[in-house]
Amino acid sequence: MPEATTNNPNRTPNYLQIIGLAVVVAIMMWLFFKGGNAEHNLKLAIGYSLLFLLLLWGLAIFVDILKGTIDLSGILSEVGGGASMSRFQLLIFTFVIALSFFLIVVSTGGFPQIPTEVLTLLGISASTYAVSKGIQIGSQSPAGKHPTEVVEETHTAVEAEEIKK
Amino acid sequence: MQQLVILARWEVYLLIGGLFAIILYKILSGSIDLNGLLTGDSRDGSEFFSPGRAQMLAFTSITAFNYLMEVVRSPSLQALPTIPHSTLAILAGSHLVYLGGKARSMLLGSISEYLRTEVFNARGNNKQSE
Repeated sequence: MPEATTNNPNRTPNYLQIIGLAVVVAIMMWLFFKGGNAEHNLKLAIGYSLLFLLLLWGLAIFVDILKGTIDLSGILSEVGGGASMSRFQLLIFTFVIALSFFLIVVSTGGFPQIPTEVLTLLGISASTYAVSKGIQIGSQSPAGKHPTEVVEETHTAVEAEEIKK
Repeated sequence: MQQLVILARWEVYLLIGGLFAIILYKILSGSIDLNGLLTGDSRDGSEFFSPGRAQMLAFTSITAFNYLMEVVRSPSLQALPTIPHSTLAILAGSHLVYLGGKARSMLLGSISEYLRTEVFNARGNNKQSE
């Protein structure tokens, strides 16, 4: 995980933040001097500003992902290397349900009801991921050895002691 | 105000679509590595083709595709489409098969190896009792 760079003296100024702030101020000024209903203008100013800031944050995240600052290369990887099937299916189901939800919101203009079956599906998917992680961690003893290896080593040690006696 | 709603809608299109496109691009370009998706690991580090993973990939893809098609065909629904209980049961079974296979290979090793360990334990217990 990259360390925080807030105290780095060589850090370049974040132009995205400056541009964002400038645009928000410009929107506020424009709506202030526009005239008309003040309450309505305030609502519009807040709405446009939030919309713009959200877009800016989203784009900043996209840029960081594309530049590799936010590293997604291990999003589907297992601890020991190779792709993880449990992570992959969780990603697929999350995208499918999110996309379906969004399509319905766009077409109907309201939030749809979520049936229990859909929640069960996501639950199965997430549980599989969690159990898979548990199996992976459980397969390693604290010393980095498999439990059966530990049993074998214990037996060998017992046998060695018996021979000594 | 109507203009604001339209802009908000397009922004969500852009952000969700963009995230989806970036992840898809990274998978296709190999930045997100899918090597070994159908390969199982055994506890000794060897790799093998895993039928459990293959069947899970098939069931996951089929279920996800069918669900998405159902939404695309009738997006004006007031609720997300339900999933038949039989489909859920099949999917749960598929996941259990995958987890069972993974647990066996990661925790017990191959069956022969497991039996060998059990025999070893039994022999050790006999010696101790003698």
